[in-house]
Amino acid sequence: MMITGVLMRALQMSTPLLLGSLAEIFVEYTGVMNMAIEGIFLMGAWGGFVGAYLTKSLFWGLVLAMVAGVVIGAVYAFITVKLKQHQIVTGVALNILSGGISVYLYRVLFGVPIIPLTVESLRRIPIPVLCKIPVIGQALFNQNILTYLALILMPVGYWVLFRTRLGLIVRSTGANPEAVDAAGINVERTQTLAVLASSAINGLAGAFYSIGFLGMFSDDIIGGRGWIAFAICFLGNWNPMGALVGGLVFGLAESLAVLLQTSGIRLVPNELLIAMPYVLTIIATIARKQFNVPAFLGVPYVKERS
Amino acid sequence: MSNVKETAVELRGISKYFSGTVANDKIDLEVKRGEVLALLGENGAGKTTLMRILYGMYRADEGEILIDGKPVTINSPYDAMNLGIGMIHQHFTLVPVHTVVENVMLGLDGPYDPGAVAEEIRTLGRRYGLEVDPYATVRLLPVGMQQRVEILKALIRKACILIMDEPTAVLTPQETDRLFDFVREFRSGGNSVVFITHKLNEVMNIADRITVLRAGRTVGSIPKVEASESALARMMVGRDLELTTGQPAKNVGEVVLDVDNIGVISSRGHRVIDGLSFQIRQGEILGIAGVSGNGQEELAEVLCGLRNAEEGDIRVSGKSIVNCAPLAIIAEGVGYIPSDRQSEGLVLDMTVAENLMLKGSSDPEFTKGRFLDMAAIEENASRQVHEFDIKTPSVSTRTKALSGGNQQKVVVAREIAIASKLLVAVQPTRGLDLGATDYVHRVLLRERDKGKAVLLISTELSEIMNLSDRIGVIYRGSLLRVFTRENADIGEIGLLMTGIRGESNE
Ligand SMILES: Nc1ncnc2c1ncn2[C@@H]1O[C@H](COP(=O)(O)OP(=O)(O)O)[C@@H](O)[C@H]1O
Ligand SMILES: [Mg+2]
Repeated sequence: MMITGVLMRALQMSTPLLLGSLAEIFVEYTGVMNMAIEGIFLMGAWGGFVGAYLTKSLFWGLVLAMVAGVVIGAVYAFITVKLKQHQIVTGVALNILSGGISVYLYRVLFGVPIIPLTVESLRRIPIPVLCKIPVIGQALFNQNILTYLALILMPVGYWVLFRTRLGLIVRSTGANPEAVDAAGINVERTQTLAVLASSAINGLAGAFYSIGFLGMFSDDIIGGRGWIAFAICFLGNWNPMGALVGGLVFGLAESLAVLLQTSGIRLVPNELLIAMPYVLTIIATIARKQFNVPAFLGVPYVKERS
Repeated sequence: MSNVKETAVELRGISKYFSGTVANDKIDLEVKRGEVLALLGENGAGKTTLMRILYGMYRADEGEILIDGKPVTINSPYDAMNLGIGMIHQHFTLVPVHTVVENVMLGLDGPYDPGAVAEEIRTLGRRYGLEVDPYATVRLLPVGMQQRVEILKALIRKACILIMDEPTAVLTPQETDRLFDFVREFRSGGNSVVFITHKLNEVMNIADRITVLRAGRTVGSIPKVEASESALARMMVGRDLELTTGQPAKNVGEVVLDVDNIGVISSRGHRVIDGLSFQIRQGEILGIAGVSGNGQEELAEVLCGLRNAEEGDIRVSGKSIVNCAPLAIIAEGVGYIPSDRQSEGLVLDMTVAENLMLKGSSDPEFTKGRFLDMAAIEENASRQVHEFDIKTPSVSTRTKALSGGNQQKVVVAREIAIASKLLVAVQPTRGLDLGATDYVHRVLLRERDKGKAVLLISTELSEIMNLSDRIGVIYRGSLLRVFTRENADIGEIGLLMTGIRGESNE
């Protein structure tokens, strides 16, 4: 029973990390880092809550989460892809901006409520038969729609990247944008679309924190988890299957930490457990022989010097 | 050959402006079916720009393009490819980390079927003598093979007008011959080729007709049968140019540079230099020929302290300098002209005067106590600008405003001042026009005659043959053989460059 609980929570905790890291893998293959990821997570959480609260429909919450993510993503794409400005600087600015805007818009809509406003969070959807499997049944097959989506998207993402024309274009753009240009494909358009798509997914990921889980919104709801998704992209060596493992490790660590905290067991300091995945990331990064980092990651594609 | 050929491509009044430069100025050009048109011009004449416009990578500011007599708009390479135009770029547009088949498939319409494309690559490869393993990773292929991949990309898209931008620059003489065979074979099928080059002998060898560009304009267009190398050179340069040829060294003195069995491992763990030894004496130029990427850059970097050797010793006038800091090596009188002047030789945002003293910031000549002596720096700069005939508005002009030739003169002037004993020159004329190239050649010969030792590393075989007193061939980090000037044979050197050893009678 305890194992089932830990696993179930681990999958929940990893859901947004999986979505976010997959989105980051795709966009980075086109040569653009989505450095606004933390802010987009936050806007997604905001959009999810506001949409759900105002329409009383979680569906519209998810839609508004994606829209909010895409809006930030569009600004990011315009500045970095079209105007060719520095990605890290732009990302930092947008993250700060999102932090302010989400809180501001929340207060404009709802004032400063004494008790936090809540909505009912996404319901679990038990898969018939499968959810009856002992131990793992409840953990794997009784989750909400976003968790299922994340688990399905990882292998689908892998397949798209490495087995389709689209994936080939995506992987080529960050490796040598000029080759893509010479092959008759519009580099800026590819990069822009990738940023927008990744932002939509990141919006969903952010919404998981507000309506997939807690049923409420606060300004510290993301708390750096966008950056964790960003790091998992590295950890997984730009491979969705690697990111799947990385995301699950982080989820498991967070889940164990919660368990230890609530049960009062003190084997190791809680903070150490939470820090473990970060330490792992650093070790994995140092130890790795071959990096699949796209050669032109972070370098704007300038066709005509003028 | 038939007498009247149909026109495949016509460019009318094409102009292209980049900020500050007119790259193409109302250029007219015609390519016929079944002909090889050589597009000849100095570096910077506008050849690449014009062809990138035809290929849809740049947009013309004025002018029109006609294919088979019909006006067309070409907005992207996609449009160009649909019109049967293919282009082999000077700097290959390949994705190094992908396989050959992935590179060929990029942007190809139709279902994603690597197996079928690989089969097509094999078939086309056999037909045109361009065999290459479809599943090889491009990064690991030699440049000659990478070029085949570029050509195959165009062929699989059914190109009938093939643009090749300086395709021989990276090839050995034998590979060049094979490329020419392909071009003739391709032409015989009624296809057209635009062959961009600035090498006159190639033009005379392969072209049916020649169009010459100079400073963004068409100078003229003549059939090969009416052309001669000297007439073409005059059209290209706009004046008579007598090219310097080196006279053999007269006063060869003591050994200056003694490289003794060095080995270098790259940061990736590959052995890039392996048991390399040679000596250079005062008053002599040693030329190192080889296909690029065979350890030339690494050799130069080890000599100048930019890279460590794992084994072996390097002595300058008897003093070991191996793995010393660059500053110590500079102090020994070793000058270094790097292959990439813009990223390694100069700080483009600094002034001409600053670049001319760049390596002397701790030299008492340029300092007063702990501070730079600005007056001395400017005086030095004025003297150098005068002596090397550097065309610049003033010594406080930013170096990036200078033309490529004058930028290179800044590097050359500075390094010659440093090189009291040894000058290491890597690709010293890359990207320069004929006038500037000749100037650099004369300077190298002059320094040699003053008794300095010169190491000339170049992939331009003609440059090596022209200037060197002895010629070594580097292949996979080893010197295969060192010829004296008299018994250097271009054919044999070409073979050695590909790693094929003849009878060794050193
Ligand atoms: N992408 C670009 N942006 C700005 N200027 C360019 C660009 N490409 C070429 N130029 C300039 O246009 C001129 C012609 O260059 P190019 O067509 O490359 O000559 P060529 O191929 O004959 O050596 C040069 O002065 C060059 O500096
Ligand atoms: Mg060119």
